[in-house]
This record gives sequence, structure tokens and C-alpha cells, in this order.
Amino acid sequence: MAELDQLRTRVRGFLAQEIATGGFSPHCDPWLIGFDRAFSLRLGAAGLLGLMLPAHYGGGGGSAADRLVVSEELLAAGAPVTAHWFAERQFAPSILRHGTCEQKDEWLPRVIRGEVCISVGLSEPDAGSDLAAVRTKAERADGGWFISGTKIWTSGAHLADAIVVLARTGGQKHEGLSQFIVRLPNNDVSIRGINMISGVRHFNEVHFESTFVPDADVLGEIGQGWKQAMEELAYERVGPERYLSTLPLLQELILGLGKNPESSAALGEVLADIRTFRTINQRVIEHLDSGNTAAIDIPLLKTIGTNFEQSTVLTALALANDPLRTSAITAKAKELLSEAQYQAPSFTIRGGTNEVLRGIVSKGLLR
Amino acid sequence: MSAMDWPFTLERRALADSIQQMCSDADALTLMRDAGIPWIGIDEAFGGSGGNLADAATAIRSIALQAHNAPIAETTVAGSALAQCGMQVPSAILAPAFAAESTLVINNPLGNPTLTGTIQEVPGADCAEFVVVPVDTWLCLVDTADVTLAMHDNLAHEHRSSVIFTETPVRALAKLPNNLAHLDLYAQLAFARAVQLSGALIAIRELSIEFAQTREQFGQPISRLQVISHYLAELAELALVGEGAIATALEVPTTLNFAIAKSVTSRAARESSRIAHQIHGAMGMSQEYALGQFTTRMWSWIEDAGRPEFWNATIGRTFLNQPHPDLWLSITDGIEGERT
Ligand SMILES: Cc1cc2nc3c(=O)[nH]c(=O)nc-3n(C[C@H](O)[C@H](O)[C@H](O)COP(=O)(O)OP(=O)(O)OC[C@H]3O[C@@H](n4cnc5c(N)ncnc54)[C@H](O)[C@@H]3O)c2cc1C
Repeated sequence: MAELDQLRTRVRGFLAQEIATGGFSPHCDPWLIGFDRAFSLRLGAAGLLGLMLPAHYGGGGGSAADRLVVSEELLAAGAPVTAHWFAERQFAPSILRHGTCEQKDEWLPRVIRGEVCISVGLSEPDAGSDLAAVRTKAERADGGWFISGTKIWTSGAHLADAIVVLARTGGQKHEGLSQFIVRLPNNDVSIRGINMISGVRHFNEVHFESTFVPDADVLGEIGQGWKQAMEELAYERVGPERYLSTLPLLQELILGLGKNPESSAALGEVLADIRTFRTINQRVIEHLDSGNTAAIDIPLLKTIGTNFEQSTVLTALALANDPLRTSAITAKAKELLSEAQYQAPSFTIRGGTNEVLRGIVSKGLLR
Repeated sequence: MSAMDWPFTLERRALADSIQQMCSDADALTLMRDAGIPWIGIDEAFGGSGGNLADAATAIRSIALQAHNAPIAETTVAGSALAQCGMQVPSAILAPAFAAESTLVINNPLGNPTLTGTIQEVPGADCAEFVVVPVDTWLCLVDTADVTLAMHDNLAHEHRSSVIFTETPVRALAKLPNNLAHLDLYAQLAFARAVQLSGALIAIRELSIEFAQTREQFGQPISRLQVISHYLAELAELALVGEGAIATALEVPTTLNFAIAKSVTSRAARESSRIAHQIHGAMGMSQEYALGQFTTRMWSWIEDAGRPEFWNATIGRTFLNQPHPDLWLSITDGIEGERT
């Protein structure tokens, strides 16, 4: 416990320094829309990335609890962590578990330095919730594979160093899927930007036309892609993102709220919920780390979390429009509020929709 | 079953099992008294049965899981209040006459003290031997024979009373310690209700899963209908949230976390009872079926000892009244002056 407290203090020190030197401006949902490679590099240089990766590669050799502390502090501050987020959260653990020695040597030290930006290539135009319907195919070639097909909604592909592509190498449905690391930018990959409803470019349509991937860039085993992708998704579905994505906004709205506003109960409710979800999240992550998670805990956590995450936007609106405010909301609060409103619908969609997750939960309940 | 199995050391599991057995006996209250259940979580030095707050929560939750009316939680809360004030806890059924603020008057506290005034909605006073009541800066023990009770049933036919004190003699009293105000005691009672609610949330999840797999319509169990299966998933979410709230308070037992537990479990219970009734159709409305045993209790417990809106406002104001209200610090490090 004391060590985790020390770590928390260290991260807070780093962030205080960043804020003092104007290193970043806070965002809502900062792991999705806070892209800043320079920030990720500074974080790596401060030794705050890859705390749960082995020391051999430059990591902290710690546990998921260490990473949780760092993640919490970064998200609570609204720090721009998108550039390294997917790489550190799901790509590195997957490389560590399934990668070759060469892949580990190449990628892990770079992830830990904050140099790597990874995109997740799962969804396709005709494979959303029904992910096993992916049609992108990989065909055997001399010394590697040719990949053809289209991925869509790929966050940050236009900025990434590589995209991990789930493609069909044979078989039906969940069988016969495999993962490939496709390096970007790449002459044989075309990337078309898709603006979000906010007008901001975020995700992409990524097109592969006989894109060659050497055997050295196959991730894990051929035919095990589904299992590996689900493991990676588990890392996305747990975590402190849900209870922290709007915290920078709520904090900014407290300025000028006064001591006895109409919305004090709404604020109390948010505080109650965050403390509660934080406990549940910690427990589930501990279990995930020790490998004995109940199958339904992860989807349960995500649906609870994302519904809460959306409700915080309504709370924010109540705080912003409180008739008893002692002063008007700041320009920063306005900016964060619109960011939160734009992002909110996606909370319950990305990483598996709540309907799909509830389907998984109910299967687990009914035996 | 889940990562949130907070109470379950082997010993607590055994305790839960034995309480479940006792609840099916016609004279459950006597059995539980003889086994010392009402005084779990109270130090033996003060006359309790020993054990900690999680042990007491295990006992209270187990009784709630059986929808049993024995006023055990009430005795635990009232007895624990006595012990926190350094008083001896009688081996008797006790009723906590707690409220958010003091309205009673104490006369002659240093001589032969008496109390005057009324406390409403006191649980279990009709079968308690003593009433434990905070007044001003004192905690007082009063013989139930010396007060007047105006009793009514709540929705679940549990007894609640207005306790009327008219120059009622005080049998024993002690100063409330500095860190124990009326609101802190009220939050402890609220936490007991939260624990009961978390038990009921689990019970109705299980009942609903069972019912949905047995009830057939359109030639198949209704659990096969996607809407119904999603309702079941929602019930599982709400039960997990309830457990998370209790686990939070057991980890850091502060007044604020007790308030949080009451707020979170009560709101979950509102949702959960609505969904469970929808799943059950008409069957859920029948007194012969178990669901109503739980939902009527939930509706009562939600309103008891501060409804969620009351505690939310209290939490919000406590937060805002810090010199520098910082949301994240208040979550990780506690609110300034947060009391254990
Ligand atoms: C901001 C954002 C970023 C994203 N980033 C990425 C990324 O980087 N990489 C990537 O691969 N993907 C990404 N996605 C895509 C995301 O994973 C998909 O949106 C998600 O899997 C759902 O697929 P879909 O959008 O095609 O919806 P659909 O599957 O078409 O679903 C539409 C509706 O139908 C419902 N539905 C579908 N099937 C069922 C069912 N069996 N039972 C009940 N209801 C059902 C859904 O719940 C939903 O309400 C991103 C999405 C968003 C919003």
C-alpha cells in the first residue's frame, strides 16, 4: 500500500510540473481524444509507462495495481494519453504473452519509452458487434502474408506506427482468425479519415490491398486471433476510464459553484458512485491480474461503468446550469462540456456495445 | 461468484450458513439471541460477541437474504453506539432511536436525567427491551417500559414506532465522543439498511434468474427472450454495484462511506425492484410468491434512515464546504475531516 501511495505521489508530482510548465491542457475522454506524442515521451522518460512490464525490457516489473495508479492519475488530470494508450494498455501485454523474442525486444522497450502508437483493427463495415464476421483475409505468401480488406472506425490509424489487424486465415467464424502487425505509414495501406460529430478527425477507414506482412510480424499463433483479440478487449473493458473520463470537467465546474448550490445532491451522487465503481474496478483488476476473473465480471463492469459515464454528463449539465452559481462557468469548462457531450454516446458503444455485453452476461447467468 | 465476494472468509461463510438455518426456525429470534448474533461486531469488553464490522455485515445481510423480520440489525447498531461511547451493552434487544438531528430535550443530565420529546420511525422498538437515543451531547439508554409507543407497519409489515418520551428516566448515559455526532450515528443505521439492501439485491437477482428459466411463454422459457435476458444482466449489474458500495465502506468505514453505501444501494434497489417485478409479471404481485417479500422491504429500507436524496445532498455539501473542494482528492484521500 505504501508503495502505491508513493507511486501516486510521484505521478502527481509529474503532473503538477506539467501543469506548471503548460505541458498540456486537460481533456475529457483523454485516452481517446488527447493525442500528444511529446507528452507520451515525457511520461516514458519519467519512468511512468510500462510499470507492469518486466524490468528486462525497461519496465517497472510491477503489477496491474501499479499501472492502475498511474492511469487513474493521468485520466483524472485529463492528460493527453491517447498516443501511447492502446500500445501500453493492450498491445504490450499481448506481445508479452504471445509475441516472439524479437517482437518483445523490438516493441516493449519502445512502448515503455512512450514512442509507440498502435491502432486496433477489429471492426469492419460488415463486422461490428458480430466481430467474428470479419472478411479481411490474409493469404499465404513467400515469407509472409498478403492482407486484403477494409477496417473501419479505426481510432488514430492516421497517426499510428502500426495497426493490429484481425484477419481470416481460414476456417469459419471464430476459428481461423489471426492477428497481424501492419506497419504504418505503408504504401499498400490507404487511410481515409472520418470526422466525428464534433467535426474532429478521430477514426478512419483503413483499406488493405494485397498488403504484404512478413512472418516476423504475425502476432501470436495463426488461428488464435479470436482468443487473443478477446484478451486485449478485456483490458479495454476494465480500467478506470469509465469513472474518470469526465472528471476534469466536473472539477472545472466546481469553480464558482458556491457552498450550497441546487446541484449539491447531484454532486454528492457522483462522488458516491465514483467511490463505489472504483472499488469494484480495483477488485476486478486484481482478479484479472491473478487470472481468476469470473467470466461475467468484465462485461458487467463495462456496462455499469459506461452507463455511469454517460450519467455524469447530465450531472455536469446540472452543475453548469445551476441557478445558484456564484460565478459563471469558465471558458475551459465550456470547452470540456461540449467535448463530453460529443463523446457521450460512444461510451456505451465502443469496445463492445452494452447490448452485446449484456448478452454475454446473461449467458453467464443462465446455466 | 463475483470478484466482489466481500464478506466471504470461510468463517463468515459458516456464519452466513448457520444464520440461514436459524431463519427457517419458528423461534429464530431466540436461536439468534442464544448464539449472540445481535451483538456481533461489538467488542467483548463492552458485553458484545466480538468480531468486526464485516462480521456484523455478514450477519445482517444473511438475515436480509431470508427476508426475516428479526430486529437484529437494530440491536447491532444500537449496541455498537453504546460501546462507542464506552457504555456496557446489555444482553437485550435494543432499538436505535436515531435521527439526523437532535430534537429531544434532556433535563438534569448530571443528576437524575429525564428525556422529553418524540422520535419517529424507530425500528423494532415494540419488541426491544431498551431504546438507545442520542440527545444533545449525550447517548442515553432508556427502558422501553418507560416510553409510549405509537406503532405502525411499514410496507413490509415490519414494525416502526414513534417513541414518545415524557420526562422519561434515563437508565444510563455517557458523553458522545467528539467524533460521534447525531449524523454519524444516523449514518451507521443507514449503513445497516444498506447492507440489508445489498442482500435483497442479490436475492431478487437469484429469484429472477430462477423464475425466467422456469416460466414458459410462446413455447420457451422467457429467459430466451433477449429483453428478459438483458433485464437479468441489469439485475446482476445492480447487485454488483450494491456489493461494491458495501465493500467500499467495509474497507474504509467512515460516515461518508456509510452515507455513500446507503445512497448507492437505495438507488440500485429502486431500479432492481422495478425490473424484477417486470420480469415476474402477475406472479410477482402475489403474496404467496417470494418476490414481494423482498421488494416491499426494499421500498421501506430505501426510505429508512435517510433516503438517497438526503444523503446525496449531505455528501455534496460536505464536499463543497471544504476550503478547496477537489473531487479527485476527495475520492482517493478522503474529504477533509472525514470521520472514522
Ligand atoms: C469512438 C469510437 C472509436 C472506435 N474505435 C475503434 C477502433 O479503434 N478499432 C476498432 O476496431 N473499432 C473501433 N470502434 C468500433 C466499435 O468497436 C464498434 O462500434 C462496436 O463494436 C459496435 O459495432 P457497430 O458500430 O458496427 O454497431 P452494430 O454492431 O451495427 O450495432 C448497432 C446496434 O445494434 C445492436 N446490436 C447488434 N448486435 C446485437 C445483438 N446480438 N443483440 C442486441 N443488439 C445488438 C448494438 O448493440 C447497437 O445498438 C470505435 C467506435 C467508436 C464509437
